Amino acid sequence: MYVSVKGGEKAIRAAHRLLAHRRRGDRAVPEVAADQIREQLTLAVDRVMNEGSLYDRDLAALAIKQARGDLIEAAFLVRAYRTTLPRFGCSTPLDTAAMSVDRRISATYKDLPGGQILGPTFDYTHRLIDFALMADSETPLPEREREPGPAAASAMPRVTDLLGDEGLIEAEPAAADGAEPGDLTRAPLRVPAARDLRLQQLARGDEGFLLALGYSTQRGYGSTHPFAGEIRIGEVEVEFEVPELGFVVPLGSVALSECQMINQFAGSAEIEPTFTRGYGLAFGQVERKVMAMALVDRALRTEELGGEATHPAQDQEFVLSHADNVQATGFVEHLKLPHYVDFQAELALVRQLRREHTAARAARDAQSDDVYEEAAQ
Amino acid sequence: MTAPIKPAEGYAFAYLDEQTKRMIRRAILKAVAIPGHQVPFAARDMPMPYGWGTGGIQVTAAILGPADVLKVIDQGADDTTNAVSIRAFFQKTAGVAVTTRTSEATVVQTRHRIPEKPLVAGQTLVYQVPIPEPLRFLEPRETETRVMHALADYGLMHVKLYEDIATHGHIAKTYAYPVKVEGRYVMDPSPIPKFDNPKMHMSPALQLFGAGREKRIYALPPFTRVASLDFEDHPFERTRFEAPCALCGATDAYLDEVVIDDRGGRMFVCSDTDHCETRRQEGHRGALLGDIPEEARS
Amino acid sequence: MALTSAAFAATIAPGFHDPVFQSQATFRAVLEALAEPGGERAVDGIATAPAPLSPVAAAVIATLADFETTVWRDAALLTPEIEAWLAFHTGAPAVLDPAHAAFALVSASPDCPDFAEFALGTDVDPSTSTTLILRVDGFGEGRGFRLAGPGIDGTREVTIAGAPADLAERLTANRALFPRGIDLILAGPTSVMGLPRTTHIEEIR
Repeated sequence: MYVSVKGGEKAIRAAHRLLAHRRRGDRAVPEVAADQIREQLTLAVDRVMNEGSLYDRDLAALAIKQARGDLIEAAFLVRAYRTTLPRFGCSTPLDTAAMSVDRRISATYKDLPGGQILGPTFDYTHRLIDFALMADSETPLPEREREPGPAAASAMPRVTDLLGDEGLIEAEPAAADGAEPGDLTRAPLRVPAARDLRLQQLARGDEGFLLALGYSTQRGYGSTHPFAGEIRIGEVEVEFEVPELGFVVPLGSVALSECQMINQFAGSAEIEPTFTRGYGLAFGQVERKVMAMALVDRALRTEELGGEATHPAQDQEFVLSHADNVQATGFVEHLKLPHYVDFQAELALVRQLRREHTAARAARDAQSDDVYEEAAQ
Repeated sequence: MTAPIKPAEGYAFAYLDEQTKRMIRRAILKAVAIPGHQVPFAARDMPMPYGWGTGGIQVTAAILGPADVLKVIDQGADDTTNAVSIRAFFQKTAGVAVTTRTSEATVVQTRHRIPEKPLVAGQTLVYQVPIPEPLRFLEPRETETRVMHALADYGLMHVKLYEDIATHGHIAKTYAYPVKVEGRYVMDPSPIPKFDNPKMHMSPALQLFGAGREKRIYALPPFTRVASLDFEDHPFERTRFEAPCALCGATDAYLDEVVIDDRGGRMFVCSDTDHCETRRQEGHRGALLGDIPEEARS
Repeated sequence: MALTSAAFAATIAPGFHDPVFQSQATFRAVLEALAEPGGERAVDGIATAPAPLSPVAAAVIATLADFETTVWRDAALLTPEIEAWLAFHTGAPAVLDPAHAAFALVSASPDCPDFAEFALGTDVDPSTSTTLILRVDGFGEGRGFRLAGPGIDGTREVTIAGAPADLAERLTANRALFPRGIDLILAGPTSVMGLPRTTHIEEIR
């Protein structure tokens, strides 16, 4: 006899238990600890903090462990946790010029005040699998010529400020006094969206999606003629103004990557030829992300600079609606949920359409047979 | 019915913080005041994936109180995994009483169906909505569709439906079949089969629609006129089934097709599991369960 | 000398004693009131709210307003006590221009501006209109009205005491703006009644 499928509850319980078991893997191998992830898989932690939209290294590390290394799943765990946190307000604007720099490079100048600092980068490593890492070995401590610490802002000026002093790059529009940037987690994103909201969505957005879009602009789908003016990575102080106290309180520092892309711009009827800006900023060391973000930011400014948005990376609604991987993965994967009620309706329709199609063809064939017969007579 | 339990420690009642609930509640009130209009709201990231009911869950979380009795269905069934998971979520975070009986529930959260048993005054039906914009597949741009709704310019939709008639002789849309609310807004009823569309019209229950990923809430107050789009010479037709339910013999319910072997054998059973079970308890028997038992004969 | 926050809080009358569940219950009453116009829904008012803010209106505004919404008040409600009470319990910024109000509190119906002076929303975003919370003397007595529209099976007859004399004309003009328009929550002594923009209203005698 047919018995309809039951026991969803039991199945879920068993599946969760199996999932936990698979996460643990072979029990003969020591369990990975969240602090090991935090310290040794730092770039994964950084990605999860960005796409999870929460600066918390420990939480991101734990999420990576819980998600079995699936970084989108980990970002999702962090996002859901973030939902439960109260929002106290908005920090004062971070001053990246006062960054305690770990890495700082410019592609537009051979040398510049403050120098080029290569820092901890994969650039110029040969991508050869290092079998020595299979064994427990001591990693030598880094050599340091310079004591780390906050460099004076004057000692390491931003490349865009150098250009700005000469009037060669568009001025960064100043924010209105006391104006808070928008927050798309508090008010739904409406397009066209201002640049603050666009940058927020890009900073939260999927690294792979931004990478592909940025890449597409380099291949002619909305070229922006970019130069990597400056990329700097390091720690920046976060300060918060407490209205009740009336003064600024330091909250600590966050690790940031910043990319200032400089784009050639031939000018338009209203605007004289100048360099324009594309901007990328995100938590941690996420160089690829902020570079792609800066390319896409500039592409999204096409219309405000008098151009016509004809390519995907220039299309605000397309880019902003599809950048969030937590939304995207949910909706793509929801196709796993049962759809049998709708499928049933479609099944009946396709059967009906096929019946009608067959009948129509039979009628047509019969008609053409008549024509042949008439012709034969 | 499963009685209320003590909610889990460390969570706000029904998971959401009070500020989020207020924001959602304000959107719901405006949605009720403008039936069929999609009200933007700042949907939060929820602990379930987008596309799995986050909109419905947020609406339910914002309205739910300790006196409520919650029923959750997916495809009409209480025992599908996603329904089980959402029901367990509210048991854990709100401790509310839950039920599978439509008649016992004060709040029913649903994906893809409206229960067969007519809803009554005082009940609230919360729909999970994937794509709230009925014009989305005709015009992908929100900037355009918003203006079409503002101007009540639904020409594009009528052209699409008319093209179906020209090609197929009838409107080839079987679910998420668009409706017009109080003669003003064209609304997506979520992917319910069009069989369920007439149940929305003048329902005594309050109907709330939540789309989490798309960040929209809309509503049908009780006793609101809801008309499925059609043409005078091609009136809307409800899906009909050729066979009754094999388990309970129902002839007026939406049926799922169940493949029973690999030789093309199939049977049809109610998609609404509560409806089917209730009918069987009342003594109704479908072909598979044999004739009506003695005691149920009159 | 600066006031400590504790001393400051001590000067403000209490709000909900159980904010989570009282605001949920109040919200459901308001939701049902707006979903079924003309129906009366009991609300457990905040008796400690500073007069002339009515306990029921106080419960409604404490349920719905916060730092993300603006609140306009009529002249009678512009007292420092009410100002402080709303700031402490809701955090909602006060506005003087009714066209900028997400919520409006009206305690004395002669002071109620023309409904068209409030935010009416736009055709694209009609939900950005003001929700008016209007104190009335009660239901079941006073002037009679016949209502029709969404939420009402046919027509419904109600009586309202202490509403503006030209309520029917005001709401008829408001109805003509649909989908724009204000939504009205009438706050009686122990209950609320909703009159959303969709409701057709005529005065009967």
